[in-house]
Amino acid sequence: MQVWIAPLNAQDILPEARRADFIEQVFWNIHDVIGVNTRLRDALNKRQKSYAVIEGIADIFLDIVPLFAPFVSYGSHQLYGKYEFEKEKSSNPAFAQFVEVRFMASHPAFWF
Amino acid sequence: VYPALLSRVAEALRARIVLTDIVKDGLTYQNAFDGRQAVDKIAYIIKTTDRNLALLLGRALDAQKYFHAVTYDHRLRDSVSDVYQFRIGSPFHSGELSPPPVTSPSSQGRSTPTPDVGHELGITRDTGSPSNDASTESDPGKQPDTSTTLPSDTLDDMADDVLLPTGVFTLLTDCYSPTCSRDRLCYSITCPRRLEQQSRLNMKPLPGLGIKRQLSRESLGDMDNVEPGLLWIHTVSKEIVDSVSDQEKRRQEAINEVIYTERDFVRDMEYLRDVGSLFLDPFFFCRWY
Repeated sequence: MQVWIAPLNAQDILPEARRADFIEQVFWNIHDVIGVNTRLRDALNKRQKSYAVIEGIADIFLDIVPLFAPFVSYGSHQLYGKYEFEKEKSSNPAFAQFVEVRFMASHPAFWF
Repeated sequence: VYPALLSRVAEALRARIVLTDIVKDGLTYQNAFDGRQAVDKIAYIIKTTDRNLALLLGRALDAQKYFHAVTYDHRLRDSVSDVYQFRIGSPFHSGELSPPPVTSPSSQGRSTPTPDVGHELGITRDTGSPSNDASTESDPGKQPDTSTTLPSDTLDDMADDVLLPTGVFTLLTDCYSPTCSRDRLCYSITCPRRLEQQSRLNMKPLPGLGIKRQLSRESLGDMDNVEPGLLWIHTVSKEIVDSVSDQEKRRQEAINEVIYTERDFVRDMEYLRDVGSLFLDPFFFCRWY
């Protein structure tokens, strides 16, 4: 996400007055989401390396699901984030161009 | 003969191989040899019983067009029914597309004559050896039959004119360590000679060392970036695959898909966070100046 966040912080694409708030509204708790998924990935990798024929992975999910709160938070806030994003894009040509370039240059998988 | 030097092996092969007339598909090929003989001789020259290794070395030679299948359509094979001829620098040789190369007297791989020079030399030599011309005429019956038949007249002369292959066959090079020899185990566990030394010394190769290490699954498994779409069935041995039911196979593929999808998901997020910021952070380049 620093592909998006760092330049936004550094360049004069967004007026400084609302920059921090904008970043929070749009990206919300994405770092927490990465953190939970890294844990899940590591547990699954470990299981896969330990067994040729895996008996099951349900226990891993049972362990990790209680930590899924960041998804709920992210998901429930997603529409607000998208609203802020679209609003900025339509009112700020510099930002619109920034998005255009970044969107082409990066992986679109997590962009709303 | 130092087996790692292609030029040396090529010379030794040329000296040892027995050339005869071989009939294949109704055509007679003069001064030819079959693939099995070539592999036999190479194996002898490099002192190995591993025919596969000898075959590999032979292919390194034919890759440089030292010899070729008489049909020009395949590489060296360890087979009596496949026939080969040495490349010959004769201007009469119809099958050769490029002008015949010529070695310099030193012939140790440094000779790279221009094609024009080589061609001229080849012609000069031909006209200057009437005795060989006579030998052509002594065998008039076969020549017109096949366009691929080599004229035998220039063979002896031309043996010198064949550009020797050059190169180092790294599988057969000596170890850099002076204490590593045929009968003394190398100190390095990654020495390619080690398996051979161990078998000669009747030692048991340690599992996970030597050449086999490259095949181990672990080196794939501990990377985060395992190829997406890698199927479970391709990651386990055949015995394991055969020991489970079809339903279990489908279940394992489903579990595998869950796992690699999660890997991809995290990797994509990390990509955005890490790799992308390297290139897109406007201060990135400032750090280098």
